[in-house]
Amino acid sequence: MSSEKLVIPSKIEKIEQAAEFIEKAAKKMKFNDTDVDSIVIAITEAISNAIIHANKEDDNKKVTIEIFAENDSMITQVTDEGPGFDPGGIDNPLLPNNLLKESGRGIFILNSLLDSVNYSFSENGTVVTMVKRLPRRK
Amino acid sequence: MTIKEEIRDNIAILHLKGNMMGGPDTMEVHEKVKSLIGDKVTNVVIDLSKVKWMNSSGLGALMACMSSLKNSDGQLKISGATEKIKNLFMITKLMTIFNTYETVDRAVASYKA
Repeated sequence: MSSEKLVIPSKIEKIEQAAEFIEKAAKKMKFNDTDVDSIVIAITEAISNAIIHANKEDDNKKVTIEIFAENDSMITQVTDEGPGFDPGGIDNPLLPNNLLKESGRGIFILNSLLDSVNYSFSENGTVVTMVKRLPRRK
Repeated sequence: MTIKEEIRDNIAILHLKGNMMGGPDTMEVHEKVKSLIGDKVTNVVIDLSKVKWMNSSGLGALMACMSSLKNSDGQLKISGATEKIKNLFMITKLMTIFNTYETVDRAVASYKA
């Protein structure tokens, strides 16, 4: 299993650097273009949440992105230094009352584009573990 | 991200280039739309053909633009969304909310229909 790591300060401007890092790793694993896009969009949602909501854009706090290539899966962990949140407490953005809102779609997009998303909370912060599997070859 | 403004027959076209993934430059689109509204230009086309990636922050910026224009009796139309952006509109059901067109010319023409 190989792995790559990027640590960024909690500045939203750093998201582009993170996106390029993720794109490169996904391409290296031979995901097709559609899956590469899904991976980049989904994981940058997790990074954006870590920067804005968890670390409150305090650039003394870091966001760590670790990518593991394991057989047919790309496993990405995004770690922040925030207090955590209740993933079950997020409103469904597809409900008519929420559809016109300007925010609240990040977690939904994350869950929609990846194969699995898990959260682990501790006193030190939150780790979001995300998995995208390569399509099975025929 | 860069924003290039073009005016055709009192319709503003904002050509975006780069990524819409949060940060000041993403919200700058909304600031631009508010400035257009201030100058009584309330029909706006946002051209996404050169936007590489968009996430929920970008969607939020588009929603903010749409709301501001609606509140000023104007309309937002979106042109040139790539397949990956259309996919994002689909999964978030925003395809049913946004008026989308394949090209800027068609979006502009739709104001005159």
